Amino acid sequence: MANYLVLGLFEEVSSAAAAIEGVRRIGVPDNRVSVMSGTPIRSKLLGRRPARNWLGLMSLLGALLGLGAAVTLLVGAPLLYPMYQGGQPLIPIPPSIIITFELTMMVTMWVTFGGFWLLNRFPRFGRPVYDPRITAGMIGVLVEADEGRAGRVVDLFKNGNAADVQRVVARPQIDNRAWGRWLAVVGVLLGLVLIIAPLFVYDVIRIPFGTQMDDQASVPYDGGPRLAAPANSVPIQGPVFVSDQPATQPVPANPNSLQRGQVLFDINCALCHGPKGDGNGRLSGFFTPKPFDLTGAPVQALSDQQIFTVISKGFGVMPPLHENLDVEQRWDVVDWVRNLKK
Amino acid sequence: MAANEAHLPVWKRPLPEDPRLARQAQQLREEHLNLDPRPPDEMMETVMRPTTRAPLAFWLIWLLLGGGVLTLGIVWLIQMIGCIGIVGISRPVMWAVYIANFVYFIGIGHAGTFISAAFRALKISWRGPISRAAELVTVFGLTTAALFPMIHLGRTWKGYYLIPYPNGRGLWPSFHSPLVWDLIAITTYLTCSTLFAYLSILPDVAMARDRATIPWRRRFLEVFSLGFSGTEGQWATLNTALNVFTYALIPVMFSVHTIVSWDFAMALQPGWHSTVFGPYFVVGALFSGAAAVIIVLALVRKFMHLEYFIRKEHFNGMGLFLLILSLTWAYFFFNDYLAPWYGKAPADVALSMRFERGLGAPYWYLMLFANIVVPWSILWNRRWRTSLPLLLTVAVFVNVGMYLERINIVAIGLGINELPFDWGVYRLQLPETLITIGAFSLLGFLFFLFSRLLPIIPVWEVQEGQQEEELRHEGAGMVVTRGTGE
Amino acid sequence: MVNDQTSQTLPEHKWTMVVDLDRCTGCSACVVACHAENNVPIVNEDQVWRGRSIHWIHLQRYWEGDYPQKQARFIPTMCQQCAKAPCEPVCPVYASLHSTRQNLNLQVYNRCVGTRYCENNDPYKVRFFNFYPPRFDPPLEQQLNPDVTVRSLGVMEKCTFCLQRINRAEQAALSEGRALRMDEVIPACVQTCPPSALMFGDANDPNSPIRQVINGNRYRSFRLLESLGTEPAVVYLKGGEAHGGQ
Repeated sequence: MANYLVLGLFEEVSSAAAAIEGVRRIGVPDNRVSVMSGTPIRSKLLGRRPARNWLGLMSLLGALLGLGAAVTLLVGAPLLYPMYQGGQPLIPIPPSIIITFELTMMVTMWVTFGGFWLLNRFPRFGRPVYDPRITAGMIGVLVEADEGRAGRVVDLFKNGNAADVQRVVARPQIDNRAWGRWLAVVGVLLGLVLIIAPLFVYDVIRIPFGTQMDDQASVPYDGGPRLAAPANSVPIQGPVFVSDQPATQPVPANPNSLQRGQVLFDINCALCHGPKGDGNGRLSGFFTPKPFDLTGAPVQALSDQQIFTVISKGFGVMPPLHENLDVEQRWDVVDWVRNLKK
Repeated sequence: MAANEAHLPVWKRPLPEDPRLARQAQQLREEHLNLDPRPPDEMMETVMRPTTRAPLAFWLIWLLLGGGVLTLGIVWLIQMIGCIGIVGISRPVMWAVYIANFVYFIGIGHAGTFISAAFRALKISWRGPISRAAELVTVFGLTTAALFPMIHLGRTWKGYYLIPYPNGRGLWPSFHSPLVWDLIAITTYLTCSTLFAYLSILPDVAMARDRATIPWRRRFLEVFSLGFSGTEGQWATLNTALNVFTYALIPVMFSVHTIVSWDFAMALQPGWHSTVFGPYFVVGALFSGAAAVIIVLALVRKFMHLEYFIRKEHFNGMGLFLLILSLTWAYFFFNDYLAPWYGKAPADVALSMRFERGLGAPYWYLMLFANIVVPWSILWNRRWRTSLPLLLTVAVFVNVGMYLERINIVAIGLGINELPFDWGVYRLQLPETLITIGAFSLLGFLFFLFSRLLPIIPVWEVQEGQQEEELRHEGAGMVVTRGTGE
Repeated sequence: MVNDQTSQTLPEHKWTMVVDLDRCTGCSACVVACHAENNVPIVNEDQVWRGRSIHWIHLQRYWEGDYPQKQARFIPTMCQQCAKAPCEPVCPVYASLHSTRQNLNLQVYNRCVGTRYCENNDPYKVRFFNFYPPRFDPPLEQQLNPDVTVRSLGVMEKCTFCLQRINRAEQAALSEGRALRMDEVIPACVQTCPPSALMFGDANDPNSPIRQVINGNRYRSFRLLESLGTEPAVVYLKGGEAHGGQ
């Protein structure tokens, strides 16, 4: 059972190679010998087989991942949410090639970097057997052997021009538990980000940013106060509200108009204002203030244009009816409201 | 040479007795870094000493640069609050100095990747000591460049609309747009260049860590080095990783500035809508980048006392690289100039007249002088190429000329378009000047910061290069020869 | 929404504007009307000098000849609503996109982040950027049209062929269960033009007046910068001595 670690420091490649050969002849298997150096040394020079590494495969997987991500974005987004621009097809080929190339490269390199950390168990926690002189140009040969062989290795190193030889009881070179904990912390942080970010992005948590165009400076139709335009300044189709001028009705109050007005009033107005226009419709109890009494003084004192405007644009809780009734119909209703006074 | 001296490292071996051979050996060691190895401790000490000791002038200049960065931040804030209108853009010149800066800073990053990646792939031997400084020009230049797409936006605070992420509104950015290609390409280039720089600095950080005495530095280097100990497995994976990055970053580098050029080439604007823009911009980027790297190397060599590492051979190589790029740039410029000149489309003619005889003339002729006349007249001569003051002058001229090239294309070129009623003139305003100065300060500031913490010369790569010189193939095997001792 | 459920039931329109240069007097009433209808802001003198004035429809004016034979030529220019609009694909956030049913180029104000690429790629330069927040000092805000968004700072804007009027007419027709009548849809500039130099309508409808105008005037019709392949929806009719006038 292997229970000693011997570290020999050599100044030159040739003496290190000779020592490694010697260790192999003693009978220590190759995978119990590791070489540390400050600059990369070709394994041929040391008589060792090149270390096998899986990083190339991981890079390939990263490339496939990047390709998949690119295709998902480029095909998925336009198909789910189609928007047309400039006479180009929804999934244009030349831009797709560009994005695919860049994303594939990006993910390949990120995965390679991550794979480098993973394969080497970076960052390394623990107390490895190491000597700072290794980065000063020495080559360190670390051998793990049982008690008997360890003694022979020490002698071999000393006879082989080793600058220094250390022998310690075998201990693990990497603290896997600490590394696992570190990975878990990173995973948890990433997971938190991946869980919390969508909460904001999908408006589960809504931050009331002013999007700047929510508050419009313009005065909406049912808002106010709105100044009257100066006399005769703006030609419009429809009623012109000019104060102190007599009311004019485009539709005279003949029996046809009154009949039409009554029908329209019953359909559109009676529910709130009541069939007799006194403000006691079936829904009047639900409103505060209650719907106006159209037969009484305040409403009947208004000019025809004002009544027309209230019907068109609404008033307070009363909705605008300009989309329900066209202009002639609204004048019919105005005629009928006048009729209600009597 | 005696047999018992063969195992000595090169710096301990005596020179040969024959005076001619001795002189030859001495000259080879002086000229070529790869033939002049020194003890690794000494090399590391040379590189790390400037990080621990800095003269007062360093701190003062760093403070000044910090002030420049602060200016950048403050003016940007003022621009966001006090509206983008304080800048000089107008209709029709809707892009000007900010976009030119953007293209410029990305451009200077390209030579960095070329030196650290492409030279590595091509196994150019003199790339050893300069690759990290070059790579840093890339990383810091790109960081600075990445600010400008945000600075030039009318509503910067909504800039995240360009990022493709699933959201509740079902809105994605438009992959038809070159600006989105830009976003992805520059993110790729910036992140992957940073990762590449990190990978290649790892063994040096380990070296510095083993040598550090000041506690907070030691702790920082221990964390930064991830526990790198130089085992075979670590070197093998590092080598694979560096290879993947090298061969992936080279096409990415070409594609990034091509994509940046497509911001212009996709437009119907006269002077922009040219198919030659792709390679033209890539070569222009390499050109300005090579000049920027020369400036950085000259400054680093002088003020960090790295004369051992950065020698005449490196400046010779860079000077030749610059000359070749100047020739190539001139070739592409001529291509871009010839087609509109020949075709005589009215809008193109109007644009050419603005450059040749109109208000763009001083910038256009200065650009040609700086990019063509200055390099061609100086860099062909080896003595002038390796004379540091002269090379530095050429590099500064080239940078000025390439900056002007971007200003010409963007700010002046947009003033002319198809309908003469819509022609306009761009007038530079103070915020743009301040932000440009701030951007250059940011570049310098980051360099100064780096120089306080980490080694700027890749010592392990220099050592690797020096060891390569001592290796020879012998049949199927390899042996270490006796190097330049004889 | 561009592709809503009603698109199956509503017809596809090809809104076209015809500008008769023979009739245009250069009075700029259309400019004023557009300002009033679309809440287009006025910029101050300094900004005008810098070239930042915003006029969705404006008269391009070219001087010809020397004194005393100096003449001005006007071309009322508004967004050409190109079928293959170059301003659309360059917008990175889909703020500039195409309505396949109305065949119009839409500008989504709230999505615009202000990269200004659309203006660079627009060969007609009919897009305008809000460098400052538009100011409407009281009581001018009461003149603003509540149907049209008042844009904020940093947002691009351009002529929309009074899409709000088109939508209103279509909704009225839909709610009344009848087809859209051509005289219901009329942009502000067309409505105002005193010599009726501007005409508007649906060119897809073979019976519409605009179709008759286009068909009858082919001998003098042209579109701006046709060779660029943008397929604009605005037809100009040559006037003056371009064909025998003065």
